[in-house]
Amino acid sequence: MTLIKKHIDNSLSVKLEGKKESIYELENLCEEIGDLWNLNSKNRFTLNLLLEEIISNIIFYGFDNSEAKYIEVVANKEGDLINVQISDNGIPFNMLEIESKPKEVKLEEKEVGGLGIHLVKNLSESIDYMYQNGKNVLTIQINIS
Amino acid sequence: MNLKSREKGKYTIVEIEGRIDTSNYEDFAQQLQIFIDKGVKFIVFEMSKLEYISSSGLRIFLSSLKTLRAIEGDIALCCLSEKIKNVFEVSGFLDLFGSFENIDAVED
Repeated sequence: MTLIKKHIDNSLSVKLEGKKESIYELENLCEEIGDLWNLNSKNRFTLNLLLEEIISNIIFYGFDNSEAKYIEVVANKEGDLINVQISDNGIPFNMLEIESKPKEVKLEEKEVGGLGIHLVKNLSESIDYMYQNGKNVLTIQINIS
Repeated sequence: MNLKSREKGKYTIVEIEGRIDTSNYEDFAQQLQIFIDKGVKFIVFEMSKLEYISSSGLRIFLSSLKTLRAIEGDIALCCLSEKIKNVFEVSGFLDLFGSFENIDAVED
């Protein structure tokens, strides 16, 4: 069970190990955050989906085998916006550089790769990326209005 | 995730209950493959009890649709909640699948 830390500025933070099992903890984590901030089911769904897509991408593609791997999630709520910062010490990767998929394509041309990133780009209010002090730092905003 | 199936005319109606995510999408894929191996060609997913889906689950919908269309079968969707419908829409998947307003509209 991952412990959510509540900070004096009302932000929440969680440190996850960079392994597949951490993805399975996200449902409960989002329920806990949803309870703390009284989020409705649609916003819990979006939070869960964005975290699952981002964190599974880091875990499956972002780490080599050398160092201790971790992902840190820090979230805060400002009015109708939730800011979520996800940082990891894996390989530098900026999802904003990945081309978004065209929506209208025929079935036979439809590919399964990159769908998670497409969802993150389209369901987030905003996305920022920086590589700082050896860490990928991705910040997304979710509009809960 | 639980799947419950029944026959209606040429269709196999598969009711999905719960979540399809990174933890269980392989199980979902295996269950669908069992239907296809048994000769099922037309599937209607009854999705009113599907609570959550991520890209790992959406990929299985797409690969199953490709598999069935290749043998002149098909997949249709029914009874999507607003949340699920939105994810299919944003993914560009909604127009790829046929759909039914409700299960009664599925022909016997």
